[in-house]
Formats: sequence, structure tokens, C-alpha cells
Amino acid sequence: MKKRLLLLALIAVGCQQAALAPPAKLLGISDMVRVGQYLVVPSTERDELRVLNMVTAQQDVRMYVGAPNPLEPLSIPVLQRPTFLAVDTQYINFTLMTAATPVTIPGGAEQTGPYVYAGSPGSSEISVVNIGIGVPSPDGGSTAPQSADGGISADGGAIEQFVEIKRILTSEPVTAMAASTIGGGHTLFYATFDGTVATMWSLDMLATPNALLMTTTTDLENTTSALFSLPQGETIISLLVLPPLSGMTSLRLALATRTASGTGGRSFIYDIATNTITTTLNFPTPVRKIVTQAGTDLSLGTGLPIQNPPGTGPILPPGQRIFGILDEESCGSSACGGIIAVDTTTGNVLDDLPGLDAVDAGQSMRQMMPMRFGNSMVLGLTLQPGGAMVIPPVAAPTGLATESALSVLGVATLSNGGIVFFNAGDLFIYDAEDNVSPVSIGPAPTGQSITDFFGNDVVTDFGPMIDGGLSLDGGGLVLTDGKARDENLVVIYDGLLPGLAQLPNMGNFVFGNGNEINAVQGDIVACRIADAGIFDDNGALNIGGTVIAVGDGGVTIQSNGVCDNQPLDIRAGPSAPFVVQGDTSGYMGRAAPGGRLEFEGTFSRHPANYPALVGTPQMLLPFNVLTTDLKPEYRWTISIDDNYNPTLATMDPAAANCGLPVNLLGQVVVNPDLQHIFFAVSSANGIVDLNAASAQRGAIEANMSCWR
Amino acid sequence: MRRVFIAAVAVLLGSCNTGKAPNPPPSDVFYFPTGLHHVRPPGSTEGVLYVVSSNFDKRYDNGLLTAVDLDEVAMPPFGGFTDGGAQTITNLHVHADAGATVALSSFGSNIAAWQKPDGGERMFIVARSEGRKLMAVDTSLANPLFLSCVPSLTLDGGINPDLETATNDCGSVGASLTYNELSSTGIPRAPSPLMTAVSTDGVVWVTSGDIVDSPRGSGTNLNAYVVRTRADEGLEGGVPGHIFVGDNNFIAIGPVPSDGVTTGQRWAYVTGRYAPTGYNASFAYSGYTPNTPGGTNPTYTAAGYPSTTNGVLNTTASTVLVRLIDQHNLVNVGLELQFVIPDSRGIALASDESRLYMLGRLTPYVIGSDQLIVASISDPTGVTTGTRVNVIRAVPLCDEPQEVRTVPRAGRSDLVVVTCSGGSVAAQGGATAAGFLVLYDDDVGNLVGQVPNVGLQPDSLAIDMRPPGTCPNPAASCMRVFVSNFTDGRVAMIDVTDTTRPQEAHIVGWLGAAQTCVTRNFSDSTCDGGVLILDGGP
Repeated sequence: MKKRLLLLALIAVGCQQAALAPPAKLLGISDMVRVGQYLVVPSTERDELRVLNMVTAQQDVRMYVGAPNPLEPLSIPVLQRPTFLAVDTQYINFTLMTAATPVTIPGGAEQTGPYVYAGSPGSSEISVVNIGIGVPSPDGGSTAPQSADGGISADGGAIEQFVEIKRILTSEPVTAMAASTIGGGHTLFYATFDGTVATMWSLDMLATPNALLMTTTTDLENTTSALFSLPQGETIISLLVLPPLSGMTSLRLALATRTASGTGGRSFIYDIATNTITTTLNFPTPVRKIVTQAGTDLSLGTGLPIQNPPGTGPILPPGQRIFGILDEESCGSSACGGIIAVDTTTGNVLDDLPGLDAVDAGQSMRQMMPMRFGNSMVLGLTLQPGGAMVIPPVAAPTGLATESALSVLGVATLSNGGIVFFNAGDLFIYDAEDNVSPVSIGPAPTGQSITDFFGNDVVTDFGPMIDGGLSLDGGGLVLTDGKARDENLVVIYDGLLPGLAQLPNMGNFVFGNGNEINAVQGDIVACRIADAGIFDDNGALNIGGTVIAVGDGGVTIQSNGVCDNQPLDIRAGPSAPFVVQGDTSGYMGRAAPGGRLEFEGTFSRHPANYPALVGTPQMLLPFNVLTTDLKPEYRWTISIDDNYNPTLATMDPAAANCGLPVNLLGQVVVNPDLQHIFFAVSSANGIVDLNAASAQRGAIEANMSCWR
Repeated sequence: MRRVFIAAVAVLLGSCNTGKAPNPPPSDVFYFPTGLHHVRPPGSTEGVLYVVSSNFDKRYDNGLLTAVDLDEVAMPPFGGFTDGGAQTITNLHVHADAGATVALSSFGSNIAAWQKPDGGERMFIVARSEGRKLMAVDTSLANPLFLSCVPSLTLDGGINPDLETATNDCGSVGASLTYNELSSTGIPRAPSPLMTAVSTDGVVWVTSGDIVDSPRGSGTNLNAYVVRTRADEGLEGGVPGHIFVGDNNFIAIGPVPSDGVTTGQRWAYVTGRYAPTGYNASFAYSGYTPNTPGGTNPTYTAAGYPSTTNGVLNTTASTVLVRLIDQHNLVNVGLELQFVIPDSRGIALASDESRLYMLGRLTPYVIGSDQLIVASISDPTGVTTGTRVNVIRAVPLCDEPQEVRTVPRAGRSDLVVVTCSGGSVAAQGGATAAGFLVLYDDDVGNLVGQVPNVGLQPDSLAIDMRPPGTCPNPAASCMRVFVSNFTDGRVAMIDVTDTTRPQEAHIVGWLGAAQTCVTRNFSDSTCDGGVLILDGGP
């Protein structure tokens, strides 16, 4: 009995909609698509799809579509272990009613349905499920059943909704699929891989559901056409259908492929009518998923408050941009992952807004840089014209944190539980920098310490190494936003030069290893004592000589015999005794008292004032001319905060109210009509519904509901 | 509640029974089978399959290791599958009187096999029943069907004459992993040995799924241990033909327990099990404690703690997904900060050690969202830049993935084979879900084959690899995969007739009579003469 009470208590706490609708009992939610008012998700281990209705009689209340027995949620049985979904998609004109004069954006909204397609990796089947025609509507979207003759039917004459109406057998396992109703056609495209060769297929899904039903599965499968095959070993892993180019009628496919365990792959646009590759998509590295968007008015991309009228900026047609999730496998870590966008006309990486303004920079310097998020992977990505998020004060026109519509809202989920909200129209992530001050705060030192080699604090009465000393803010240290990293910089007196440690002792000449360029005449040659320490019992270096020349493939030294037959270390000598290393930046250079170290560095992102920063070094570090009493290996450590505070968020599990962790997120869908963002949450087997009013940086602690 | 109580009393009575007649396990069936190992001796066609019967409900006195001569069994022809042709082979032709079985402690694990210098094999199995034993079983090159137990040495390194003669009861002669539990400190000890692995040079690793306190029962000084020992004491100048576990063989890994283990060129890669009740998340990065106070092992050094640069960082990591351990070092590589999943189980390495494949579970929270996590390994020997491990892919898996193996393929990436002990709920009406075997192809970056209805709770794997020239497609390799079905008591056989076409994997039969009539009291309608009926079955 106690167990039963506990269970009831858990249900009451964990299932927000428990009193309203039966729980969906999802077992595995690996994908999610939207069809009007419905979100369709797989319940993988139940071999079924479930449908969440976003529009109910009660505001902000969702319900899983019920079964004929209302005590149970509707189950749509499909193929075994449905894991990935596709949905019929076309782009329809959309009128923004918020303008003083309504503005119509061509192809500004997705019309999805009537069918959702379910696939499973390694399976040679595709389930075709009739959901209905989903269209935008002010209350959150509507999904009318399609009549037998293809029109939208309010009731009679409709083909049954929420059922699998066909199961298509394919010749080989399906690796990717996409479906289109653009231009009045209705075609399913899917890619297969037989273990050696990938093939792209198209299948006419017929004009009406009735026609589809009247056609036997065998007859339908016999109409499948092979479009093309790829070279051996190349697999199609992501697929989009793009609308025809202006004035054309031919659909285009955008593909991402994979080779050699993900270390290779390409992306391109294929024109179906001409059977040719028309554009190579020049992502910097292979991608594992590609995503596109409906049309939009890019002038909304400045973060204008949601109630403001749209401007008259350029209209971006649907499918004009493709965002790629870069494949971490291409280099073996998140260092080559991230999100980046290309233009489908040129195939080139797009300029982001800061880059556009950097008119004097070279073209490659103006292109957006991959949006990367530490050591995590991007798991889900969606792009929604007309979506909204909370713009940080520093970037908002009002100087206040404001929910604002964007020309395109981008939302990504990360493998470490993070959520990214970004401006996908202007192709950048807002940098909150400071949650209070409206003034941008650039990278800055946040702490410093002076120690000896062993980490013991050193009394600083000999004077600071760095000009400005303990008051770094006024000391002339210059850091460039976008280049400076979160890291510790360590300045080491008589420091070991990088790559010049424990070199073979060949007498008066040390053969080079490419790092000898770091040495100069007068540098210190040292060796280590018996226990491999660098100091003798008196705390002095074991000095074995001096560098007298650098070049000709090595370093010439003048030996004093102390280090004969021992491996040699070369240390920075009197002419420039300060060696500077960064945790992330690595060796940054060396400097002399009274000198100034300039480290060029590279941009890792484009800050808002990027045009003004082009050509500036990552760091200028001036050194005090008065340096007394310094001993070898004294080190000055400066902590640098890059002050980059992107709009990354996490869900507070209590606020999400799933009763389970909400940190393993997957696919994400935005409903711009509701201004809500829906996350498929694998760790809770549910959907978390977030009001865009709380789509902001940091822990999200309100405006969420969990639908399980 | 009453039923639970009665069952508990029954178990207690059963375990305390001292005067009852011997009740050895039957040798002609598998009883809660777990570990598997396949070998094809010279001259054999089908090879020999070794099966651990774990005796999970302690119906019998002990567990069992059984050597099945597959040449004697009416095996289905390789790849020879027709719609009605998946066979259940109930006559295993086990010659127990000829040494084809040895007793094991109950709750036995997987099998880690080591090639002995003399040509035979030594199989290591750990058990979670009384004594928590590490057991070793020898075969010879001349007769791989004859099993003999390898005795352990006493804690002072000496020979216990009583153990030298018990060659058919490997549990009694095995090395205890909890001999310290009644000592004043109670440590080191490994009370829940889960998995074992052995490197080619003869280093044996054992994981343990529990944290332990010190003194025992105090709830303080929480820590977890893995065990590292030699496959034969003779390898280190000790007494040949013996195994040994003493205090210096325990490595304290911090208070997050371990689960899966595999060995590479330098490291043992050890996965981390989800945090137990009362676990303090901050412990995950409290590191380790020096091994064995007063012991003679080198001091363990901590390295590789994850950095926290840029982006969102999960500050609530409650587990350590993977640790790298060698003789002197313990490294937490920080995968849990890259991919949020609370529990990692089986682990396997790519044949070139460039990647690892780890089974990530959402246990104990939800069903159905488990993941195959692929991570890159750079500098696996750690001699140049230091070993780095990074998550580079995650693929949804079938429910409750259990064990993973890699299969090398010429000119292609490895094929990754995974058992899932949870099955599609729908496939079996939600009651007796039969599990899956799935195959992942790193060249495709996704699952490329899914085999349903393998049986109830698939557990361990053994692979009979067949080289090109011996397969239906002469240009490709092929394999027969054996999967132990823990709950139904059978070993499934799945043929992949062409490893370049893993989508064609299919069940060709099962070895052993189903035990669900005994263990689950299944009705006659589902248990026909000892043969379990499942969808897709006979």
C-alpha cells in the first residue's frame, strides 16, 4: 500500500498533465516533428508514435491525443523501434499581422503534413502515418484532416487520422529521409546504404491519401526511382528538400554524406531535374546534420521588441540558408564541432552581422565562425522564423532584458545539458557579458598571484614584473574581445623555452627540432640534478653554459662543463627573460624588462564590435623596467576572463517539473504562434514546453511545463 | 508483501541449509547463463563454447562453467536460415564426467580469456555470491573440453594444500575479493565484482559495483576499488599455476563504483556505474585515495581532471563515466562533462584503439533512451601528448544495453555488436519482452542491423569469427554471434553471413532448453516441453 501511495505521489508531482490527460508513457523519445498543432514523437521501445496536442481548450495546457478509450493515450503502431522521423513539408506565404501594414513573407511558414514518416536505423522499412495538414494559426497552429481527394476536410470524407496507412519496404536499410509537397507534388526521398553503396531514391506518394490507400504497397514500391548512387563507402546521413530556385520548378536536394568513420564527408545540392550537383556546400569540415528554414524578413534580426512592426529589410527565401552541425569525428573532439551556416546559392559560409560590417577585412575574416560550446556536442537544432527569446540587456535596444522576436530564432541542445538560444538571422549568439550593466565589458584580468616554482607565495617587494603591477586595470594590459580566452597566463622568469627541454647533449651544438627559433643569443643552458629537479640544494639552476648562436639547424652553446653528457634545457636569458604561456593559447612569446609582448592570436568568435577589432592582437602585455630580486622560475599568474557570456541556458529540474532529470535533451521544435519552445527530453521521456518569455541565459526557473 | 517475505525466508533457509543432500546444477542445460567464450581449436569445425551458468536464484548448490563441443551438437548450417528454420538445440552433449564442467560460485560474470604461454587458455570469471571470488579455469591446447580450476595463493603468498586438489570447484579455490571485510579497517574490498578483463600480457582487471565504507558498517570513508592482478603468479616470479589477490592488488578509485572494463595497449578502460543512494555528487571529482595505506604499490597520481573552459559545464556530474587506470596512474577523463548520462556499462575498444564504444544508460530513471557513446582516443599509450578521450558521437540504442564487442573488418571500420537486455515492449505485448542484438557501423555512424527476439534478457556475447574465403561471400568475413539469454536459459545464435552487410544478421537457433518453465513458471502454452516460444522463434 505504501508503495502505491508513493507511486501516486510521484505521478502527482512528476506529471503536470496527470489530472487532464493520461500520461503518454513514452519509452524512448529520439526525435520530434511538428504538424500544425501536433508534435509527433516516437516511443521507440513501444514501436509506436504518440502525438501531443499543443492547442487545447485551456491556455498553455497540452494533451497527448487520447485513444478511443480516453483513459489511454493514443498509440500509433509503426515499424519496430521507430527512431527518426520526417514530415511532408512545403513553404507557404505568411502574413505578419503585427505590422502597421501587414507584410507578406513569401514562403514564410512551413506547411507540414499530411504524412509523418518513421524509420529505424538498420531497418528496410518506412512507416507512413497520416496526421493531417498542419498550418500556422494565431492560436498555435491547426491540423485539419485531409479529405480523400486531397483537400482539407473538416470532418466527412477524411482519411483516418493518426494511423499508419502504409509501410514501405525498401531495398536496403534507410539512412536518411525527407518529404516534400512543394509545388503540388508529393514525394518521399530516402537514402539507403547496402553496406557498400549509398543510393538516393524518390517515391511518389500520390496526390491524395485516397489514391495512396487505393494503391497496393507493392505497386507503390514498384514506382520507386533511384536518383543516383554515391561512390563506395560514402553514406548519406542527412537530407533536405529545397524549394526550386526563383523562376524554376525543379526541386533540389541538400545532402550531407559521411566517409571513413566520420573523418570525411561532403555536402552538396543536387538538382533533381538535371540530375546534377549544382552547388557544393563549403562547410569547413564534414557535417552530421543539416537544417534549413522557412522564409523570413531579415530586418527583424536586430532584436526589435516583439510588438514592433517589421522593417522593410531583405526577404530571405525558404531554403536559402543551410545550417550544419559539424561532425566532431572529423578531428576527434568538439574542437571541430559546432554550428555554421552556408548560403545555398554560393555554397559559401555566410558572413555574420559583425562580419558584414567589417568591410575592410578579408572575405574569410567576415564569414561567421562555428558556434562552439566548450567540450559538448550539439544534439538538436531548430531554426524558426518569427521565434522569440529574451535578448540580454546589453544587446537590447531598450537596455532591458526583453522578449523579442527574431527574424530567425535558433535553438540548439547540447550533450552536456545546455540549451543555446541564438540569433539565426544575424548568425550570432548574444553575449550577455553583464547581466546588469548595459555597458559592454571586455575581457579582463580577474586575479593574479606571484609564486616561486613550487607554488609558494613570493613577497613582491622586488617590484612587479608587469607594468602597472598589481593594478593591472591601469597597467596597460590590453586584451581583445573575441580573441582573448578564459585562461591563466603565466609569466615565468628565466622560463623554460617551449620545445627546448631535455635536449640530447651533443657537446657544443644542440640539433634543432623546429623550436630553436624561440631561443636567442645569451639564453641560459641548464641541466637537471640527479633527482631530475631543476634546482640544486641552494635553489639555483644547474647552469651548464650559454647560447652563443641560433641557426643552421640548431643551437650553438658555450659549455662550462657542468652539464656534460646530460640532457639540456634552454631557458630564457637576460635579453628577454620573461616567458609567457597561456593555458589555452599555449606559448605566447617572451619579453624583456621595459618591453611589451604582443601576441597576435586568432578570433574564436566575432564580438559585436568586431569591425573595430580586426587587426588588433589578442594581447599586449607590457613589462616593468624595474625588475629586481627576481629568481629563476618566479612566476606571475594572471587569470583572464574573456567575459563571453553567451545565451546558454539549463533547465532547472524542479521548474521543469518532470520529476526526473531534464539534462539529456534531443530534438527541439519552436511554435512561433505560441511563442513556446518544445524540447524532447530523453532523460525524462517527455516533452518540456518553455515559454519564450523565459528563453534566456542561465538557469531557467519558470515558465516550463512537462508533458510525459 | 507476504510473497516477498516468504521468498526472502526461503532464500535465507536455502542459503543456511547445511544438512541437505548435494544439489548440483544440471550439466545438460544452462541456468541463468551469463559469460560466454568461443574458441575454435585446430581441427574443429564449429569450435567450443564455454558458458557460465550463474545459478542466479540459487536453486542449485553452485554455478557452473560448461564446455560445449559444438562439433557434437547438431548445429544449424552457417547462414542456413529459412523462415521456419530457427532451431532450438536441446541436446548439448556435455560430457561432465570427462571434465567438461567445473563448479563456479553463483552469480558468475562474463569470461575474460587469456592465451597461456603453453597454448591453452585461462578463463577468468568473478562471482558476486559468498566470498566474492575471482576464479580461473584452465584448458589445454590438447583438450579444450577438459576444464580445471586454478588455485589461489594464501594472503601471504603461500600454497594452501587444501586448494590444490579441488580442481573441479573453482569457487572454493578462487581468490576472495572481500577477505578484508572483517578486518579492523574493512578495506580494501570489492564486494560486488561485476566484470573482468585480461590483457594479452596477462594483467587481470576486476570491477566492482559497490562503494565500500571503512570500517565496514560505519558509512564513512567511502571508496570504491578495482582489482588488478596477474593472470598467473609465475609471471611476476611467484608460484606458477596460481592466482593471487592481496591488499596491494586493490586500486582505490574514489567513491563512484565501476562496471565494465576492457584493456588497451597501456590502460584499462573502466566504466562507472550510477551513483548509489546517498551518494554525494561532489565525490565524483574528489579523485582517489592513495592505494593501500602502508602498501608497497607506487603512489597513484591524479591526472587529466577535466578542464572547465568555455561553454556550459555540467557541474552536477554524479558519476565518472570512464576512468583510465594503469599500474601507476588513475585518470578521470571527464566524459560525464561532455555527455550527460548517469550510468555507463559495457565498453569496447576499436581494434586500433582509436575509439571506444561505451554503453550509456539512463538507469535508474527511464526506459528507452539509452545511448551508444562513441569517443575518440588520442595517444592511447600516453607517451607523446597524454591520452585524451572525447565524446564524438551518440546513437540511440535499444533498451538496457548490456555488453559490447568490436569486430575488425579488413578495409573498413570495426563492426560494433551490442546486446540489449530490455526488449521492445510492443513486440511481446509488454510482458515478456525479448531483447535485441544490434550492430553499429562506424563508417555509417549509426546502427546498421537490429535483431529482435533474441531471447529474454540477452547478456554476454561470444563471437565465432570466420575469415574471408570461408564465408558465403568469399571476399568478406562472416561471423556467428552467441548471446546468452539470462532469463530464458538459452544461448542464441545469430549469423552475420557477410560483415559488409550486417543488416542481414538473423537468428539461426538457440542452444539449450529454455528454463522459464522452472524459473518463471511459464504456462504450457508458452513453454512447450522446455522450449520457449517467442515471436520469430520455432
